Amino acid sequence: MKKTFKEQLKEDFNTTALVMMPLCVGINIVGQFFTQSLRLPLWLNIIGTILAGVVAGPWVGFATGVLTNVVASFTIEGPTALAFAVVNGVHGLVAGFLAGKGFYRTLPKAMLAGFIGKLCDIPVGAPIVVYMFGGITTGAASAFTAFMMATGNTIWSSVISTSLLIDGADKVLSAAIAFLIIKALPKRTLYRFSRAPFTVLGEKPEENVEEPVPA
Amino acid sequence: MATSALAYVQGNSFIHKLNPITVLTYTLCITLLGIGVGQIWVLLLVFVLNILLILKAGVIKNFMGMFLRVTLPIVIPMFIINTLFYPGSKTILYTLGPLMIRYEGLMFASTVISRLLAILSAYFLMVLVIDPRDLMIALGNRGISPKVGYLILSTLQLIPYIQQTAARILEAQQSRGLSLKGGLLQRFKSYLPLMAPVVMGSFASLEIRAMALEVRGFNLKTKRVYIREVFDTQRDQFLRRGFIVVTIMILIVSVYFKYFA
Repeated sequence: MKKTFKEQLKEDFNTTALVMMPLCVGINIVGQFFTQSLRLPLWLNIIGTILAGVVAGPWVGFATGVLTNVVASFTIEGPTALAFAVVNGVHGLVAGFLAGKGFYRTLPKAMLAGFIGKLCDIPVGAPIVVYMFGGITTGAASAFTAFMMATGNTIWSSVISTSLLIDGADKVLSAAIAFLIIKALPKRTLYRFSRAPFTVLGEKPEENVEEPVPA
Repeated sequence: MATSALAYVQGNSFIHKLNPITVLTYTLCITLLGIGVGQIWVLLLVFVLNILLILKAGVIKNFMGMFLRVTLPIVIPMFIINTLFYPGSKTILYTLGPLMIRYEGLMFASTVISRLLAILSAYFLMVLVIDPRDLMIALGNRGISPKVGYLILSTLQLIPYIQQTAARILEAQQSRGLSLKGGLLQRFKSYLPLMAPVVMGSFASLEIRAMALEVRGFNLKTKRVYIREVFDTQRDQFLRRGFIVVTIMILIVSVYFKYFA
């Protein structure tokens, strides 16, 4: 029998998933800390969001992304992150959805999924960047936006091409790292999530009717 | 590394004593105003109002530090780039060598900046005067699942811890010869040995944490009681209704003047 949406949600947000979400937020934040320490020209700050989406479904991924930015805005980092909460969430949503189609079983497909996530975040993110921040956010990407505008492009095409080129690479790498992390997780942990047996290990949902036995 | 401490500052002002939901309502109303209103002077007025409230709450020192650090790196380049390069702009106010100050760009930048100031200052006010714990309790009292509260609060607690872990792993791997310098590719290669221990370490404790919660009745449907109390006074209810009514009125007037007058 097919589960209703509500039943599926309840299964996705099980206790293990609820405990994992703060960890994934931590992974997002630490990911960014290490890119800063290594002075990489990227962010890599959605690895946890993708991770959550793949192992526990699109809605847990979405919630993890939103949670990251909501919590960050309560710290001394300041509440600018709140404006991009949904953008972060979209990556979790897309990762979860594509994982359901088997995208996170091989590395090239996982990277493709990361890029698709980027494409999906543009209609959400670009209006926020243009209307709220006048095309400028901090970081190297804004210099590129300025260059595009100075060479005669509209503000929209400048913001979108910046976002595609620089963010695109960032999201592809994030997805690749998330994939490597998931591959390294023990099977026992994966079985505690609603989606991981199917999205990562490739088992049919029907075969997995038995509840995992608590240790 | 700087650990992200809470922005919240304890205080005794009347704003601190309000129910968190009231402050949240105010912030959301300002957000709606900021998005809906296009007149620069209204937006600046909202900004001044927020500053007055921040003064009243006695958190102006904390506000200035955070606000300048967050907004200046956005506002200044945005103003310069849009004034000089705004595409499709015809009216040129002033020419300075190859650079031209464009009227449309100036107007666009001014609107965006005043909107940014109006909305952001309200959010700064909120995170400075609301204790997240109180907000979660107040939301819980209004029927929001306590699991939402658990998520936000445990994340806030976990972040400083995981940041310390990350800093420790960074030093540990360096002492084992991991280099943070070198070419771009070399630095990319250093990323995984840093990330993997953090992730594996935190996932190792996952099952234990989940079981600990379950045996403590995390999934029970009963009503929760809290050790802290958050009061919802008549003044709070009055203020909330006031915010909503005033916001709707300003929005209607603003849209009227923008499109019909």
